[in-house]
Amino acid sequence: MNLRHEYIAALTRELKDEIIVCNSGGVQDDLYSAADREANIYGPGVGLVCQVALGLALAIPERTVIALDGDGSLLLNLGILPVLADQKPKNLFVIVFDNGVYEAGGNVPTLASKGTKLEELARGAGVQGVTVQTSIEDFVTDLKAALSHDALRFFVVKVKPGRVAGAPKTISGMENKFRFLRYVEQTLGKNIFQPPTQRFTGGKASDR
Amino acid sequence: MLVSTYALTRLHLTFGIPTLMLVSYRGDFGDGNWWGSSVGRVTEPVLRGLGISYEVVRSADEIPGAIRKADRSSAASLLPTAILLGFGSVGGV
Repeated sequence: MNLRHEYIAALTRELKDEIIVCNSGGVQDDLYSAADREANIYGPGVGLVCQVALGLALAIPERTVIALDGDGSLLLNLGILPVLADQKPKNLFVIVFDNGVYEAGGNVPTLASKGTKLEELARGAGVQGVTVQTSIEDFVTDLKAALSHDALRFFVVKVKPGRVAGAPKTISGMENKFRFLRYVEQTLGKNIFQPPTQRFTGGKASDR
Repeated sequence: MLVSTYALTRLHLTFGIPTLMLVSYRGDFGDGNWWGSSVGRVTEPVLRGLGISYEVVRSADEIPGAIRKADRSSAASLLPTAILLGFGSVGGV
C-alpha cells in the first residue's frame, strides 16, 4: 500500500487546467507541496469537500473539477452520495483517499477501518463509475482514462496513513478564495464579483 | 438552517462566501405546530450568534424586496444573509 502523497504526485503530473477542491489536513499539505496552483481550493471543511466540488462542477461546466476527499470527511456527511448520483455532473471526478484514520486528529480510526466500505456506500447510493485503487501503477492508467472520460468518476484510493514531510503551510482560506475567483474570472471570462449597488436595480424605491 | 450551522461557520464565514438563505421560520409567533416551537425560539439567537444579518418577513408581498436587500448586503459584506419566512408569509400549516 502506498502513501497518499505518492498518488498526489502522480495526479499532479497529469493536470492541465482542472480545478481541485482539496480536503483539510495532510492532503492539503501533500497537494500544496506537489503543485500549488491558482485552480486549487484547500480545506473548505471536513465533510464539505465533495459538496463544494459538486457546486463548482455545476457552476463551471467548462472545466473538470477534482475533489480530493478523505474517508473521515466523506463519512461525516454521507448525504452527498445520493446527491452525486442524482446530479452526476460529467465534469466531476471524486477521489477519496481512504487511510482508515482521522490523521490530523492523531490517527484516530475511522469506521472505514472497521468494515465500512466506501465504494459500496457510493454504489448503493447509485453513483456510477466507482472504482477502488490499490496501486500507483493501476491508478495512473485509470487516472489518464478518467481525466478524458465524460462522466462522473469516483475513485476510492486505499493508502497508508502519513503525509509528506516538511510541507509548508497552505495559504489562508480568504486569500485562497480571492486568488481562485480572480483566476476563474480571468481564464473563463466570468464576472463573479459584481458591485453591490448594481444588483437588482428594479423593484420599489424603498428596496434599492 | 440549524442543520447548516457547521457548514456556515467552517465554510461561509471562514472563506467569506456571500450566500442568500431563504429560511422557513418554523415556530414563529403564531405557528401552531408543537414540533416547531423549540426550533423557533433558537432560530434568531443562532443567526445573531453567527453574526449573520437577517430580516423576518410575515407577508408574501415583502419577500421580493427582502430578497433584493439581502442579496445586496451579501454582495457588499461577502457574508451570508438570511430571510426568515415567518408565519403568514408562505403557505403551509
